[in-house]
Amino acid sequence: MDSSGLEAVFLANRDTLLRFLRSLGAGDAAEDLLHELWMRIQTAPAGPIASPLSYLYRMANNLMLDRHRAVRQAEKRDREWTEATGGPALDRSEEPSAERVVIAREQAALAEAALQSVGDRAARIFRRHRIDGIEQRVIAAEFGVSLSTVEGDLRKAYRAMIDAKRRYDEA
Amino acid sequence: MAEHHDIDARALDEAALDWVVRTGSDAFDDWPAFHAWLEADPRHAAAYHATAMDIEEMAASVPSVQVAPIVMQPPRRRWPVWTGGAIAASLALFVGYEAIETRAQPYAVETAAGAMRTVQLADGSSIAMGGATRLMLDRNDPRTATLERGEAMFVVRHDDSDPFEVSVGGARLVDVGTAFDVKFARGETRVAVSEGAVDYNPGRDGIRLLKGRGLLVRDGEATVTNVDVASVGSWRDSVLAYEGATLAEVADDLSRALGVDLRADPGVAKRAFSGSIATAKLSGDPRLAAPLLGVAIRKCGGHWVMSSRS
Repeated sequence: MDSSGLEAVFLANRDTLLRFLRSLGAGDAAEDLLHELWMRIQTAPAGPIASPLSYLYRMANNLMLDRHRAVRQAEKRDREWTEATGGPALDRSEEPSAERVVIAREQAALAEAALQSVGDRAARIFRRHRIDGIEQRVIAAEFGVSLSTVEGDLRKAYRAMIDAKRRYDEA
Repeated sequence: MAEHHDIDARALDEAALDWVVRTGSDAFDDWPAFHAWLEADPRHAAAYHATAMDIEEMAASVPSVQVAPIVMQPPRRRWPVWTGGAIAASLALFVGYEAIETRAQPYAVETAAGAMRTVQLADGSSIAMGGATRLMLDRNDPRTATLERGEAMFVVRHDDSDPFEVSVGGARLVDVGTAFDVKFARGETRVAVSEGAVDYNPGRDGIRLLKGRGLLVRDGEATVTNVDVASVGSWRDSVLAYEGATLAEVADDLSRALGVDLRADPGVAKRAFSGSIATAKLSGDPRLAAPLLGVAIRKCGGHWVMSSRS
């Protein structure tokens, strides 16, 4: 199936995708996001897509994750801005400030400790997936374990990291 | 009652984590079930996103341990889209550590749409900037640059002990004796090497781009391409050269080169174009490019639209 086939699947499932975006909390922006999804299909490289509806669902989900990521980054920048002593706007970049680097160092130590607490295999699987960007099925083959073991290990590592982060944020 | 709430909150948290793990796999296809879970309660989406973002933030904090030789990678590889932020953040951290130790003095250099500018660096390197382009440079480290948007051609003096490094779209480009062009627009990163070589994200998963090779990073997927060496950076001479580019990309480049807002209608956006456009001859009027591009270009409100000729 090429991208024109993808367009047909998009059009046939337009309402479902819109409801999906709304269920993800898109609210009033759902229509805009759907349009963005449409635009992305237009520029997507032509190539075989095994399961076009899954592909569209994933793109929609990624659009929402992008939005949340942008919001987090904006919040960070705002904090950084108010912490800053001043200086012309031209000298500011989106790179981290000294304050943020200190916070980041603390967070790095926490993340490292959380990873160590889940055992060697789970820590290595976490790194392969989240840092090296390797797909779960490929990791399962690499480690000679089942996909559900990979999922279980990732879950354990995520849990430890989330708990560490939330303890830190509350402190 | 309070106890009930705690139990509910924990259950919600666990369910959200399950979905983050499952949707994080490229093989995941049970989207209708995920959709149903989200629709069951508006708090579900909020919990899902909070969990996903917390994990991303923490993953970005994990110090990278790999220091490995650069290897040539197969031309196509996939990055799950959602790791992009984590990678970007971990790179930002890396820059941050360096910055604090060397007392970075960052400054921005920016061009307006329709403008061009060349920056000479203290080490003899030069950076030509296209229109609507923003670069962050560092007075205390002339060997780094961050392309925040637009297009720039780097002709750098190579130094093995201190390679020139460009950050773009959350990735790193490290020169290996080089002239190369970098573009970051519409969320896509393009690199074209006309001399020497450049390493893209050097390390375990790095890609070495030799002269005549290019790279397109779109939706987290990096694709190596062939480029015509002679036309790399030809925009500096007001010539936009293409080989199978989409009209969406051409519209974007024309916008930056001419200082106009030109958009491609969805009907023609992904149409392919090969050829050269002499932007100086357009006198700022994008309509003059219409016959060459095989489209109609008309004014629509405050911007121009490229659409099908009919």
